[in-house]
Amino acid sequence: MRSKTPYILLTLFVLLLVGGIYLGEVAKVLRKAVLLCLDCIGIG
Amino acid sequence: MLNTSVRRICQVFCAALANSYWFSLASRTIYQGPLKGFCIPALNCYACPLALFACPIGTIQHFVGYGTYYISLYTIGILGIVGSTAGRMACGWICPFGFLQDLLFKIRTRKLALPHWMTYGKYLVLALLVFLIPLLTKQPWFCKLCPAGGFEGAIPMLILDPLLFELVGLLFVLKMIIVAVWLAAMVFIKRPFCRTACPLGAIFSFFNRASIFTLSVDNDKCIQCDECLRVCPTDIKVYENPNDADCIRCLDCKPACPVNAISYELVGFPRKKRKEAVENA
Repeated sequence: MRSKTPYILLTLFVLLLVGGIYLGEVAKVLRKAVLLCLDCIGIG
Repeated sequence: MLNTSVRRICQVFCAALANSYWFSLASRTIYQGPLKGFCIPALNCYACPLALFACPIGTIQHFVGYGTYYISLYTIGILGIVGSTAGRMACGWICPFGFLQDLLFKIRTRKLALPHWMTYGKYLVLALLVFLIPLLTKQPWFCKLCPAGGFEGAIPMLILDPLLFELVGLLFVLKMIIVAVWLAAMVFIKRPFCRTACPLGAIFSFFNRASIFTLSVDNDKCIQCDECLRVCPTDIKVYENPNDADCIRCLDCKPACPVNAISYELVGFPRKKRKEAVENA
């Protein structure tokens, strides 16, 4: 079982990644990341 | 020694790659291209004018506060893939803020040990500042207090655009005090931020015992000379727990071991068995 755990986890997280991409999260991350949040870096 | 040199080259390369938008010096704005949609598995502020990629911790907080289902499957997926493959190796080989800590600790002065109980602080930071408080307040509170954001984001942005000084307030003063305290701590203590407060390190640490890449110690060979502890950037006695939650998989301990007791393996493909298979063949 010990030898299978990392591979099960890896498969699970690949599925999460694919699910996130399918739900359009890359675009959401991009929309957030291209905006400079001054408040978030302590300015403003 | 060779391993350390290779790791330094990797750290320099990754820090340079993650922060290579030099056009910002002319444009005075952050990078807004498609690469910003990818979360780098390291603590690298995406408000840094040079940053090319998104910060996973900033992204997680954004989804917790504003997402429709509170969690970013995409970001957790990236972190989980990296973690289940190599545990905290990204902290030791990729993270620019970890690299900064390694460099500052090289300053010759009296060094201090960190009490072990303080290493649990990172889990508190992860639970409170990354999940619970952003969920309740809809504000990214880890970002507001993050020393990496202050050092890589706030200071460079103020240098690039002095007009922003008009917006500086109490939060900025607090942030600069936090930056100064952490930078000072990095001179005296081995990787203090990674070990006590980094939420990304906390996430990766969950995987150290269950990653494909693991370390192991041959207890028959080990003489407990503590050479591994001396070279370890997170003060771990490797022979007590080779896959300790604070191990950043730098692998500096392996060449330092005088009796060659430390080895690494890919789970499911033990090194010894592979060697034996080759010898038998």
